[in-house]
Amino acid sequence: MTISKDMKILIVDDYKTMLRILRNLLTQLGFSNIEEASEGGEALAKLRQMPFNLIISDWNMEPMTGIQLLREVRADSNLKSIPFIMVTAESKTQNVIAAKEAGVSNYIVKPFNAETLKAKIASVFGGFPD
Amino acid sequence: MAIPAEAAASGGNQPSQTGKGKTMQSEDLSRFVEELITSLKDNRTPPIRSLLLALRGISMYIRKVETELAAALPDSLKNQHIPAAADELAAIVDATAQATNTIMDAAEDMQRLAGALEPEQQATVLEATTRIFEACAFQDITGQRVTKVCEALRYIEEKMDAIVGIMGSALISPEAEVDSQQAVERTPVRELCNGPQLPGLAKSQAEIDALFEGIG
Repeated sequence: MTISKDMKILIVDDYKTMLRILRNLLTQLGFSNIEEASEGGEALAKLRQMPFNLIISDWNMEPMTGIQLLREVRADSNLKSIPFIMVTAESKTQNVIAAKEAGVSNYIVKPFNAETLKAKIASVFGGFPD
Repeated sequence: MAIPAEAAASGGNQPSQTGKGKTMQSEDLSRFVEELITSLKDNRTPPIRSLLLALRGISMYIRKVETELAAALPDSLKNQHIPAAADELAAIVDATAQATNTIMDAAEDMQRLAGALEPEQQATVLEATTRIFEACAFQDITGQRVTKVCEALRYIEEKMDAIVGIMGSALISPEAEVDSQQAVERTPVRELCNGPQLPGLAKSQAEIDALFEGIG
């Protein structure tokens, strides 16, 4: 799995402001191919329409939560290999365990900064492009 | 004397519940006690006089509880104060969202203008706008905290409704009845959706990383 600045990233959050923040931070990190979804169901529909290289999702959304989206993705043979980073304010141990068991690639707790986002993307892909 | 069906069905252990699970209201209990007193008042035997004294004490106690609860739970609390508090909190979220978007509009303008600057100045401006975007995440956290407060208010409202249900018309007029549909259910899927923890309780990214690495 290789990383590139033009890879397609799906960001999922029910807070429009957070989507905008994520988009801006990813843009500043050099990524430009970014799609948005406001909850798990919408994200899943987009994932089944076009190929993505990375999913960055919030946890606490309705009607489909981030953990449900993660489980759906991991259960779908066409999607299961897409890296999935959870970005959430849910910092309880049982949340991290549940996410890990469901196959999350990495876990970022809000509030976060651009460096953390960059480090976790690099960790998932084994490096970060110049 | 007619014993209320609810009281007859309830047995001795849980006097406030009927056999069908319907809650017996305080006014039913009050009426039952009063009817019992009336039916026994002509009987002058010592055991019955003692029983009457005890029943009058119970009757007075029920009225005292009704009066105290009516004072503690005025209609305005449910109909005015709690909804107003929820509206105010929603307004806070809206206002902070608007302010955050305005800040980000300005930061995006700065980002665009930075393209015309010398590389060193450009880097400085982009670093500043990154910090602005990072700081704007407060709005998401604030929104989630306010949502938790709204859920707590809703819970208090539900508990008040339950008390009103038990006390019946002795406490609050019928028009103040609850729409139980509004009750928020925590289905299993929502179980791990708790929102942000308070500072000091929330895990840091380093703690999350250690936990993440330590699992499986």
